[in-house]
Amino acid sequence: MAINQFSIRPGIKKSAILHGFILLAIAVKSIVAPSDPEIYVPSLRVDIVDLPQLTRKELETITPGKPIKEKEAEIIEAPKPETKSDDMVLKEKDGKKKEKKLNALEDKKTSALTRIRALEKIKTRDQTEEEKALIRGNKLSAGASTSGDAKETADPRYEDTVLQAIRQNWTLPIWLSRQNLSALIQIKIESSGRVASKSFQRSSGNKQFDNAVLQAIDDSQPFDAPPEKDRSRILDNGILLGFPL
Amino acid sequence: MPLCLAATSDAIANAVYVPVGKAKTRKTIIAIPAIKPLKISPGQDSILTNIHKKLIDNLTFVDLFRFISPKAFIENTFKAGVAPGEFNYANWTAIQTDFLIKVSVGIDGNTLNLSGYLYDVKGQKPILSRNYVGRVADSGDIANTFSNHIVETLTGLPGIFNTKILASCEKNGRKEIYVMNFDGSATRQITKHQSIAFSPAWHPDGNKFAYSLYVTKSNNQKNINLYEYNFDNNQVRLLSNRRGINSGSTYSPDGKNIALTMSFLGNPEIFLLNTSSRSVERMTKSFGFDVDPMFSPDGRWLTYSSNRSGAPMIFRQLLSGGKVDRLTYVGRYNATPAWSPQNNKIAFASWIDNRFDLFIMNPDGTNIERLTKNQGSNEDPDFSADGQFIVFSSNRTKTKNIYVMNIDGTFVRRLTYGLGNCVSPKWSRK
Repeated sequence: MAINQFSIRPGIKKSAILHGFILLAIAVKSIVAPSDPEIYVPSLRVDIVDLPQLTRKELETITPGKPIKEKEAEIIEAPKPETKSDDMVLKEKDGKKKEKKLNALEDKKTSALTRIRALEKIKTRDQTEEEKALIRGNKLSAGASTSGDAKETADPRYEDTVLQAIRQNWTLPIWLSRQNLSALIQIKIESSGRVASKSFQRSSGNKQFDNAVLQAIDDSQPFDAPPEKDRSRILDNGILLGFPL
Repeated sequence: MPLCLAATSDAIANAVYVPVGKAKTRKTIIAIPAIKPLKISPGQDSILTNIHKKLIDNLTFVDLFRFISPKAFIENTFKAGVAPGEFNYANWTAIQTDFLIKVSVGIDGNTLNLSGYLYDVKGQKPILSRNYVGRVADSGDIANTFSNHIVETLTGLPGIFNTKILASCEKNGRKEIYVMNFDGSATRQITKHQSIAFSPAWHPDGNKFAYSLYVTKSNNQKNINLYEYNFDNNQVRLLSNRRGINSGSTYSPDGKNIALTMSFLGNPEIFLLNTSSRSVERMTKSFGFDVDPMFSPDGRWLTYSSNRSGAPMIFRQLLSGGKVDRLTYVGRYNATPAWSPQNNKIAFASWIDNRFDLFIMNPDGTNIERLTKNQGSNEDPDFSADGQFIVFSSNRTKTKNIYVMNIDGTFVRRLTYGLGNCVSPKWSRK
């Protein structure tokens, strides 16, 4: 026991010092080189099962993310083969048995046919346009948010109102929208809803695009006044806007 | 100082990230007031009107702009000048103009002098100012060149207004190769073989093209030979008369090789033909047929259609290593892949709803999008030099004609009239 105590103590000491160093290193790292903000982007799963039936233009009119409800399948129960009450009781001569067997076979056959017909009916019921689109290539599924951060998404946030306002004014000339440009900008908003500052964290490298981003923010001013609890956060930390990202 | 830095970075790290999403697109608003005449003789007004019309037609074709009606102009065009400082920007900001194009033209004998300006109205500064001098007879070309410079300045992409389109058209029962301007104007018959000339392909320099021709040999045997036509001297040169098919040709980006389908070994396979030595190198080896080759703009890949896996699908093959990727796994018959000069898309035709329609996808086969639907059979896609438009053939009016659309499938314009059935359009790079 005593031997053990002696051999463990220096071990604990070493371990504590080492852990201390690791913690210090993490703390220093987070101050000197803070990591990029985590990006929460809801994901959308699209399964390509065939050539797309809808054209690009038509697809733009469908809002992805809107769950397309499947029509409830008509429940058509296949009739069960009738079983006569006396079937079990009457166990007679071979000839009658054979006849019964034949009858049972016949019953099975009709019930199978009805079942097939019922299935056919389900298959060939009228399809809506949306359903047709679903079948042929353009499979849009509602998708699921994979951010997994409940606290970020639980309440309607102030940022959502800012996003709504900017989306209204976020326009690009056609040639810019066809290029894959993107920019990241931080804006800070005063308690009045006016933008206190805006600074590009990452420029798109295209002056016209960057100007369109600034224009979209300017045209959206003033934003709603931030709620009391968010005021200092919105003014100090600001909001990072990704165009379009 | 380090503390301050840490504080700033910290604020960014703490900021909530919000992706704004895709922008709404809008057409840019442009005003082109009438051309200001400088020293022109009476009766030469029509030249100015034609240049003005050409500028508007060209900029309408690219479908990026909306024009302000001259009725809405506030500026007194007789008083105002065209050069910076000679007019008031306020007259144009007041009517929501994004960009303003101002032109003056002077004509001295046979020489035309055009000064063209493009102004950023919001920024209140010229972003393009150029002088063009040429023959009066070439005023259309001058207008095209100025249009190119306008589009290049605004979009950063090469203008297409001096490009040309080749097609194989069947007028009077004979299939010959025709050339036309990008908008279908100035159509001209090039070949006069009185036979079947088809599948033309531009040389990257734009001064030559290759094409295939049905010929009957002296022993009465039919063959499809490959020829090259030179616009500089109007001469035709035989490139290959190997037995069987020599067709579906396409030049490599450096113009030194042609990829084509040949069948002199039996099965149609893709070969590389050296244009100077005319020697060939076999590229594919499969049981199925391999047709419609096309080089990627960087010259690294070759795409083609092959039925080696059953239904004809699109493949791409690395020219250096022979690595082959199958790009499409859907569709019943995928044909004629065309690579965008921007190297970001491949267009192809696919059999759907009992006819061909056009589709577009990434060069790795992902993100297939449909471009045409319910408008006859649409085939033979080819990109414009700026990668923003697709030329194709369609039988939507019963006869096959050549059409152009935006790469998103919108704004379809017809190019050919009265040339009979026209197929295999090919758009020049220059």
